[in-house]
Amino acid sequence: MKTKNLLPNRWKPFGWALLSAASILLVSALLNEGQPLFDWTATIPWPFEAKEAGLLSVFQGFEYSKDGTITLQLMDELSSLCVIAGLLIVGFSRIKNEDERTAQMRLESLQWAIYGNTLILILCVIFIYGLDFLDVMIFNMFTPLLIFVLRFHWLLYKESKVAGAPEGKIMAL
Amino acid sequence: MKNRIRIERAILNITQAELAERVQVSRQTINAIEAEKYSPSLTLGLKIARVFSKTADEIFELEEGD
Repeated sequence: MKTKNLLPNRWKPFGWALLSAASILLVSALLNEGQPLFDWTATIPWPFEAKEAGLLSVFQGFEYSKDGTITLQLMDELSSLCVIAGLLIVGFSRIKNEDERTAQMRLESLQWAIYGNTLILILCVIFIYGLDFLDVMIFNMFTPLLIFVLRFHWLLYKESKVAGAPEGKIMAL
Repeated sequence: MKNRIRIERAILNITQAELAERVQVSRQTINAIEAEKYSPSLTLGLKIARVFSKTADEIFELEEGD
């Protein structure tokens, strides 16, 4: 059975590289009170009232200037997009020994990720209030894909351990 | 689902890897089918049966609860 709608296996190392680099940027920004490791700003025209920009500036990396422009910090957008793209590529590119069973493992991991993510979300809705819930929403952008990738690769790793032979190692890649 | 793949393999004197190559799946998949941890698709079941020159129900047998 041929598995459909997957990226070629050669994309996988690129996905891991993108995910690793972007994760370092994102985690360092989170640990450093939202300040990214590198600065990359862009100034764009802002056709709305200053107070609207003021309201939006509760989000970091948004500065309003009186000449009708805003300056955006783009590193957080870039690192978030790269983490999401990296997770997607790693999760949905073919493994070397792709077949119908690995496709089934992938789908089961996806189901597991949705269950896990929903459970986390339910707990957060019950226990977290106010602006702190914004953090939940931010993490929730990544958690379904993250749980999926972790679960799928854990299954592949377990499989390679059970199967034992060198071929098993190839499967985990 | 029970199966006779291990026995048929022994008769034909082929390894899991050789069978896997003939039906174009990984060796781990053949291993999981033999261990009855995974039920193959109809296509794969028929391919496996064809390697042994048998019909699918000579190789695979439904169990209670399947």
